[in-house]
Amino acid sequence: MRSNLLVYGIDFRRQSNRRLACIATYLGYLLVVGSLWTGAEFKSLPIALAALPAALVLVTGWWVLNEVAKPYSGDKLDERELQVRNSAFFRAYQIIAGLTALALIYGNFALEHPTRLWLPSTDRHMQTLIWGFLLLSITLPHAFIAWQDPDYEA
Amino acid sequence: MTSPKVNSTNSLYNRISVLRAERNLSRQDLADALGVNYQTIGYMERGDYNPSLELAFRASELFGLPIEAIFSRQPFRPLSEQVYGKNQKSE
Repeated sequence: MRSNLLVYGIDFRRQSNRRLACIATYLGYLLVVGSLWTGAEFKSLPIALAALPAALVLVTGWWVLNEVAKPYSGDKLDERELQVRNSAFFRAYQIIAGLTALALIYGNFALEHPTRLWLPSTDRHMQTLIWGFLLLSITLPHAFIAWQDPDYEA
Repeated sequence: MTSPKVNSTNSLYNRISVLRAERNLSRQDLADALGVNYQTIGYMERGDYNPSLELAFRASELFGLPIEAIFSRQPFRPLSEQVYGKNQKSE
C-alpha cells in the first residue's frame, strides 16, 4: 500500500534498501558539509561544484526518509506507531544532546586556550557548523525510523 | 525446590493470523475493529511487535476467546495437531 516508496525503480519498502538510503544520505551530508567547509577555507570553485552531486544525493535521501516517516507524523497513531516514533526521537535526542554538550565543552576549553585550540573564525565556518547541525537534527529521527522499521508489505 | 521454567526472552507468540482467516477478516477489517493501523496487524502476526495488554484484551473480546488462547509465551502447537491428538485420545 506504500507505493510512494518506489523511487527510481528502487523499492524502499525493503528495510535493506532503506538502510542503504540512510547511509547514502549521510555520505551526501558529510560531502556537502565537507565541501562547504573546505570551499570556505580555500575559496575553491571546483570544490564547491563537487558538492552538487553530493547535494543531490542528500536531497533525494532526505525526501525518501521523509516519505518513510510520514505515516508516523499524524496525530492519530496507534500504540506501535507511537512506540516507533518515540523511540526514534529519543535516540535522535540522545545523539544531538551529546553532540551539543561536546561542542559546548570544547568551545569552553577553546575559549580558555585560543592559541592552542581551533575556533571558528569566519562567517562561512559558523554557517557550515549551523547548517550541518540543523540538517543532522532534522534528518536523524526519520533516519532512525527508516533504519529500524522491518520490510513493509506490498 | 526447583523454580518453574520461564521463557526469559521477549518473544510472544500468537494465533491472530489463524483466527483472522477462520473469520474471513482482512488485515484492514481486523485493524479497524481493533483501532490500529493495518501494518500493526502484520507486525503482530509476524511476531515483530508485541501488543500492549490493552490491545491484547481488545483482541480477546473481539475473538471471544481468553487471552491465553490467542497469545502465548511458548510457541503454539498447530491446531490440527491439537484437535487430532484429542480425537485420538477420546477414541
